[in-house]
Amino acid sequence: MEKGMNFFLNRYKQLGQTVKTVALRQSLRINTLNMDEKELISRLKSLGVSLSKIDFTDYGYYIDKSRFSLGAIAEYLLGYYYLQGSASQIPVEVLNPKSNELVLDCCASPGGKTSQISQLMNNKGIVIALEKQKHRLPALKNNLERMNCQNTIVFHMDALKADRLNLEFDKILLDAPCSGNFVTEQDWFEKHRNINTIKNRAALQKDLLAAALKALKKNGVLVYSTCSLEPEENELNMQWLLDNHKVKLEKINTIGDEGLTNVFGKQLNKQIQNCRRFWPNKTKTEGFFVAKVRKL
Amino acid sequence: MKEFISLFSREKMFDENDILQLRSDYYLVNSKLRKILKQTQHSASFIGIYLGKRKKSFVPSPYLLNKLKKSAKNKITVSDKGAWMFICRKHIYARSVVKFNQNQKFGDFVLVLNKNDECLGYGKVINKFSSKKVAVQNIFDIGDFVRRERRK
Repeated sequence: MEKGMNFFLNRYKQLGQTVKTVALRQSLRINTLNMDEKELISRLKSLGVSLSKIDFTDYGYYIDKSRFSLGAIAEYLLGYYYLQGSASQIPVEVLNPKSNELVLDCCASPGGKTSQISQLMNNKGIVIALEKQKHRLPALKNNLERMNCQNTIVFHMDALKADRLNLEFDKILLDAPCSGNFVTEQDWFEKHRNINTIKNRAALQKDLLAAALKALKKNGVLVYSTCSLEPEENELNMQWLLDNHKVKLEKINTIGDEGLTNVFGKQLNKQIQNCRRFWPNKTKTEGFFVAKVRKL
Repeated sequence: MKEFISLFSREKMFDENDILQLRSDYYLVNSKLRKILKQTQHSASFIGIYLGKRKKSFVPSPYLLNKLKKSAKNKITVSDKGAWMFICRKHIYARSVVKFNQNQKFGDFVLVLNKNDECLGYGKVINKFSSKKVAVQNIFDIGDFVRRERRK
C-alpha cells in the first residue's frame, strides 16, 4: 500500500522538496470590525502579550510571548481577534471581497474565513456561508456572533448544491475539505492516509469546484484553497478545472512557491504557475495551496 | 425579548419588522438580507445580528446587552479581578464593584461592565454593595462563548 511517512516524504522529494517539520508560530487576526488595531496591540501588551506583524497578511500577528492562553480572555470573548494560522489568512485576502458584493463561503465552519470576509467587507454586502455538517454549525454561528459579523446568512447545506440557492455570486471561497498536512497534525502520516484517501478527497474537491463554478457569475472570482501538500488535491485539480471549464488562473502576489507545472513527470498547463504553494520548510507556515480562478 | 429589554431600558431598541425569529432564536435582519433570504427559498440557520434565545427565560446575546448599555441605568462597573471572575461564571463580591447606581436595590438586574466600559454580561443584585458578601449573582456572561463549545 502506498502510505506512511517514507512514501509521502519521497513524493515531496520527487516534487523537489526535502520537507521537514517546522515549529509553527501561533498567530491571530485582529478583528477591525470590533477593535482598532493599535489599541488592541497596546492593550494586549499591558497584559504581557507581545505580538509582531505577519508581513504577508493585512491584519495577522504572530503571538511572540504570552503567559496564558489567548483563547478565553475578555479581549477574545469580545471578538477583538480570531486565533488563525498565518497561511490560512491568505485565501480571503486573495479573494479580496468588496462591500457591495455577494460572496459565498462554501465550507464555512468554524467561521474563521467567513468572519474575515465580513471584516474585509466592513459588514456591508452579503456573505452566504454553507456548512454541510450539522455538528459543525454551532461553532460557525458562535464565531460569527463573537466576531460581530452582521452581513452573513448561514445555511445548513452541502456546497455541492450551492446552485439551488438561486443566487449568482460575485465571489466564492472554496476552502475545500482536504487531507491536511503533517505540520498541523502530528500523527498525520499514521492516520490511515494513503494514496487512495488522497484521490478520494481530490474527487470530492473536483465536484465542489464544479458546483461552485455553477453558482459563480461570469467574470466572477473563485478562490480555491487547501491545507494539503498533495498535488492531486491542488495542481492536478487545477489542471482538471482548466481542461473541463471555461476559466483562467490569475496571478497571486504573496509568499510561497509557484504552483507546480511538472508533477511526477506529467507536464501541466503553465497557468498553474500563477497559484501559490506553501512548503512549510520554506514559508514557516502550515502547508497550503491557493488558486485564484476567474470564470470566463 | 421585549420583556427582557424593559428590565434595562424604556427606549425602543429595534423596529419589530426588522426582527426575525428562527426556531427559538431572534435576529435583527436588514432588508437586503431579508430579500436575499427570500430569494433562496431556504431556511437559514443564522442571519444578520443574533439577539438572543427564548428558553425558560430569555437568554440575551452580548450584542443586545451592549446595545442596552447605552440607555440602561442599571449597570455596575467591576474591578479587573472581578471582571475576570465574572467571565469565568463566578458571582461578584461587593468589594469588586467599583461603580454603581445608588438607586439599585435587591432583585434588580444590572449590566456588568469592566473598567473599559465593555459589557461582560448581566446579573441580579442580591446584597448591598457595602457588604462583604456576594453582591451580584451572575446570570449571563460572555464566557458563554467558550462554554457553549464545550457543551456540544
